[in-house]
Amino acid sequence: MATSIASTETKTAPATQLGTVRPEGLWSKAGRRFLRHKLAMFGLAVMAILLLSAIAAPVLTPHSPIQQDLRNLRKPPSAQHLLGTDGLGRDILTRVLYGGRISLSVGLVSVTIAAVIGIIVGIIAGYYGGKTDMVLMRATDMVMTFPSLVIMITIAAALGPSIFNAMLIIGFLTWPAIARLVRGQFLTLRTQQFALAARSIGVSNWEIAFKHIFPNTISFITVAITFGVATAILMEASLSFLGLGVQAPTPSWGNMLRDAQGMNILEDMPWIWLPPGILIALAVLSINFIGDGLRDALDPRSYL
Amino acid sequence: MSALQESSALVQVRDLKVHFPIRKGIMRRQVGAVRAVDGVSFDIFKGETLGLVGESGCGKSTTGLAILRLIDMTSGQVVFEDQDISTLPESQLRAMRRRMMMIFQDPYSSLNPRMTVNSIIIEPLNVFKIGEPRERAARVQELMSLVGLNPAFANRYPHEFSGGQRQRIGIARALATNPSFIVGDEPISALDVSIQAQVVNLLSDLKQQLNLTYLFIGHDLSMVRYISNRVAVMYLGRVVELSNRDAIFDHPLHPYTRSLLSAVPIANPKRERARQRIILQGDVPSPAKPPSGCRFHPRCPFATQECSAIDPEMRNLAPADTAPHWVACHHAEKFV
Repeated sequence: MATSIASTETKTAPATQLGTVRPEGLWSKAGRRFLRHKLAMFGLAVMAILLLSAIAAPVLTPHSPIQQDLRNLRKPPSAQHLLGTDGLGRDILTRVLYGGRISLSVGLVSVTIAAVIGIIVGIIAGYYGGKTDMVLMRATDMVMTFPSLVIMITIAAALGPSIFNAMLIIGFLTWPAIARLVRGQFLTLRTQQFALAARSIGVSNWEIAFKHIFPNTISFITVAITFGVATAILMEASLSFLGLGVQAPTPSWGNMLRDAQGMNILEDMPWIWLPPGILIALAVLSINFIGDGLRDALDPRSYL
Repeated sequence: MSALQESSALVQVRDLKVHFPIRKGIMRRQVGAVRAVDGVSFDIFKGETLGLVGESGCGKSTTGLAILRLIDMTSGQVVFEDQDISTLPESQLRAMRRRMMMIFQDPYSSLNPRMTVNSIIIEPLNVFKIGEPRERAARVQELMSLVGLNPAFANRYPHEFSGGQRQRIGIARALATNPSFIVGDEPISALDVSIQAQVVNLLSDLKQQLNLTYLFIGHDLSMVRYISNRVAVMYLGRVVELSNRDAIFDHPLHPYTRSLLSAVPIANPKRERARQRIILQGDVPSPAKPPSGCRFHPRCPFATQECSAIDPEMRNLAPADTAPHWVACHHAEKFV
């Protein structure tokens, strides 16, 4: 460390000062902030309960989700069936718990597919810019202009309805939103002076992209991903509602809603459609709260 | 131009041009170019501060960026420490970046909001693998004290600092690798006036202590006068006048410099009342379509036929045994 002003005093004095300052990384700081975010904690708790009860469904309920009981059709809630039974005499509570497995995993898996494609496309487009950007963004626009319901129906019909296909279809239809977001952030951040400053101190282009620009997009990506989970759960619900997602007799929140179609059920038998509807709303809401919390926690500018 | 060359030049800029293409239509055909910098030549001597002044859009920042190869130059030559860096491939250029650094204009956007002060200042040390990791941490503390920041704040984020403090962080980062040459791209113009003097004084002190050479880009003439040894005046992508600070400020030879200086208010009310402003006609022409001949001629009160036809060369109008006074004007003799 040959510096003209380097002296022993300046070298030792700050070292003791450094000891008093606890070095703290972005992640541990973000973690602490996230834990203080009340709505996010509420969302996390609800989500944890939903996930745990879906996983522990066989322990929590004595009934089978597919076993029909034709003597007990559409019975209102009772001691034996806490949330009543559906049109084929199956226990609603049991089906809602097992349905959570399907709906939540469709949400998570399809969002993972969308995020991987979206982030890669977004980084490449935003980082290279120019022609690469134009080609990728036109492709993205094309996917976005697909009328999603029509495409979902067509693909589901062609590939055959299954939970796996539902995940794929939802993933491939929702990546453009994430790609556009990442690309937009890259384009904005690339022109910021700190990117130029990094170049001026000899940082290589890839390091600028991944060390300087990408971390600044993480909060946006996290939020997009959590909202994406919510969208995917809803899309699975509509696919299943149309009979093109998860196939009977396997329950999902979406196909439970489909089974509740019909004026007399909607008017007179709310126990059939209220539970899956409420759970979809709860899941989507709690995931959105978690996303809000993550966004606040990951932005160092909101620290005080 | 050979007379410009001197042996002690740390940086030599020769006929530097930076043109930004204007593209139109679906085929993105190039229909023209914005000549942001259009043939600039000067030397920066070891240990001096060269001030580069001019109004917004005259190409002074672009010149600074091009000298450090942070934007691509269209043509011309930049020699730094006797090495021509204008054609160096990026891989070799990165090694040179250790010796030449930049201080940016906006202290709010030139620091990554997600990095702590420590990681910002340590980054150039990591990039060039200077010292052991332990020594680097100590060096960061040392640099922070050097620029007047409390080293205890190393783990804070840039947004927790004021504009002046943030600029000090940027200065510490630029100094980390012991560079010999620093380009200050309007390093004080985004700061409060009360802070500007502090930062300018810090820059002068550091220059003395660390034996630095500055290219100080600015539009605040009084600050440029305060910090510079020599001053170059730019207009529409060209240097129109270049000389010692006092020669430029006390005996400007180019009509543009004269009108620029006449716009500076004087703090003495009596002299301020006597100050004669030279008001120019019209606006700065577009750098995409610069005027023929002398670029200043459509606005120059002394323009003649010659000015609109012939592009004036840089001429040294100083007496033989004094410091050179370069000016690009056909009629500069009027003001000698």
